[in-house]
Amino acid sequence: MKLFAFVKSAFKSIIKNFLPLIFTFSIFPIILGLVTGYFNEDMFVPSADMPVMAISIIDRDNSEESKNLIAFLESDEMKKLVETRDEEEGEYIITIPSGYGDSFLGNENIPIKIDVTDKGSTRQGSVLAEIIDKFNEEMYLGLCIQENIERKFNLEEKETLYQKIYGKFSNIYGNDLIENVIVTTKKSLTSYEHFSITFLSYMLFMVISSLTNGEYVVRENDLYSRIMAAPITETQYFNYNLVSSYLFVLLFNLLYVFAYRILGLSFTGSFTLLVMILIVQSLLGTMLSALLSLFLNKRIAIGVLNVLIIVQLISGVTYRSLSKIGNGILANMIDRYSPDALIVNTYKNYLIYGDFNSIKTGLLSMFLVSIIIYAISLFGFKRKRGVAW
Amino acid sequence: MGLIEVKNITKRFDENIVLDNISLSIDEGDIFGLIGPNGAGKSTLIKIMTGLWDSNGGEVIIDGYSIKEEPLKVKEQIGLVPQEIALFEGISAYDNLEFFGYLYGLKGKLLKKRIDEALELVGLEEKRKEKMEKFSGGMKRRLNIACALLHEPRILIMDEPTVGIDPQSRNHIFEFTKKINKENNTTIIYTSHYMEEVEMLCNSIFIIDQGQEVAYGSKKTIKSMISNNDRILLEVLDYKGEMILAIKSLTGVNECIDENGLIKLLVDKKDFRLEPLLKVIESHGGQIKSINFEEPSLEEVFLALTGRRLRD
Repeated sequence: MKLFAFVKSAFKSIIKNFLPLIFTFSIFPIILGLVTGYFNEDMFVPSADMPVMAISIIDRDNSEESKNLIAFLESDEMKKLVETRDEEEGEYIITIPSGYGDSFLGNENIPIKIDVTDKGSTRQGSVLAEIIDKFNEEMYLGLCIQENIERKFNLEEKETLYQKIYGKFSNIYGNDLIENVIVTTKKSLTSYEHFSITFLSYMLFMVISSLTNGEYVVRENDLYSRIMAAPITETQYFNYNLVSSYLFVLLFNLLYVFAYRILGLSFTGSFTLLVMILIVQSLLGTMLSALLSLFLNKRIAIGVLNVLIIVQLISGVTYRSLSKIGNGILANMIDRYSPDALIVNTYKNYLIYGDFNSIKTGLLSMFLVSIIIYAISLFGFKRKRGVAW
Repeated sequence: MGLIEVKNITKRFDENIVLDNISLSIDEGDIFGLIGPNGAGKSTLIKIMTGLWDSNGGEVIIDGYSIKEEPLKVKEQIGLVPQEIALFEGISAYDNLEFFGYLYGLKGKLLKKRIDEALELVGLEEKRKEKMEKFSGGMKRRLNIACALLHEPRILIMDEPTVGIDPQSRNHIFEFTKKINKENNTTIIYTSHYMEEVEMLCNSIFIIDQGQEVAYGSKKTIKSMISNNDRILLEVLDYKGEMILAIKSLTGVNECIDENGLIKLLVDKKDFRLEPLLKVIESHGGQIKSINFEEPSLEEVFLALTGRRLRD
């Protein structure tokens, strides 16, 4: 009943102030995102800007098949994606195990090992593995056909058949096979997608700011004392307050994201994954607001939030331009150190790759950070018991 | 044993002693005045009594329950009216009341009934659906009190409930405070800067200054602490000039001032007798139009005990 009281009053407050709230937390950031997206469209033409993977190959098999694989990886076509280097310089070390060639005929599974060094990325390593898998599939299929032909036909027939089959293969798979992989991995964000994420973060910081401010008002006008004078424990108050704040954050995140989704301009991937990110991201936002309002005084908390909003906005708006300067060092820094990096990168991965694997690290990190903040805040809240306010 | 027992409460913030060994007892059905200047420790004492803060020493027992050990049982019996307007601005009067009703475990028809009663008591039944931000200061104050009455608490703690409001709203608050005390036998703890309010409402008084007890007891006891003198105001017609000298010579009369027919006497309660005074007036041809006995005001008591005015 007490939780219901908190949730109901939060929703009544939202309903009674719906217009200003929806304008501040939905319409305003969406319009900003759309306008910025529209005027920066040229800068976001999808391009093949996925970095070339530096690979080193260790061939422990030295078979015809392993040499074929190496030749494939070193082919002109693959140079758009991979570049062979010495063992010490490679970001991805590909080890072809002994018995690789024989495994095709023996129908055994002898996997090729791909070591991703500190400089490489696991995601791109997976792309590399996928390319090699496709090559192996083709090789295996080719060898099966070759063996059957060897058994059944004479030399002239064999020649004609080989030409026919390989002709068809190259039409069916050929370069398309590799191209498919390339197209998937090289997808980059459109300007609308990029700015939808930037202004989603902006909106989240605004919501955090509003919640933090609300928390100070509750303390300043003694509402906190009045509630705590009722039969309610500190833990109950803390949790119920968080739940109502969480629903507030989630609601405005949902409105923002689904407005873009309905417009078809962003967040158009898997619905389930999107909801998962929203749930966890809203949790993080709620916990941040609890942490700030608990440990900082009003002026400092508002100051910190304003600085975060400014840095986040500058990072998001200038990201594309910065990525073209000095080998993208500044853009890389934004990727790592922007206040909203965790959220932005999770959404970027969602939009580019659209699978759970690509967002799981972001989701897990946001969740863990939220849990840690929750534990610290609850401990601090119970310890203070309102005395410091 | 009183309904509320405060025993040797001490509260420190770092090295500052905010409450120094405070003890008091409040009987059920009493209207208890807690008075003192700003920063005297009134609000700190209230926060400790309502379980919001811990004390550094001593204990508060309410209806046999310790606030430290069984805070929820104690809190169920208390309605707190904070000094500030502690309400949600963005929602209606009804929604505010509903929120606090839920916190005290009320629901359904009972909650609706209690909300209606509380709104009627504070005279806001017509404004139930209006947003708080449209309310005047007096209306907000009344709603602030209504929120504390929903669960029909045995103890109502009113921390400066009339700050910044018009006389009409103030009178309204006095009326229903007396009413709930009389009809429900609700024990009321009332803090105020306005001595006349405390004087008018309260039976027992605790004066606190700089965290220490200055005076404590019934209103009469406290007033007698500073003086044995009473003041008598006489309105006399057609008297002769020598009458004042004759009155001054009476036993127990310490002072006699004539202000155009209004005679102010300061008399010693122990020695003064009324009969000789009446005879002197009669013998000088005077006709008594009115006679009033006055005790010193609480403001005077406070001034005498602390050396400063309450609102200094």
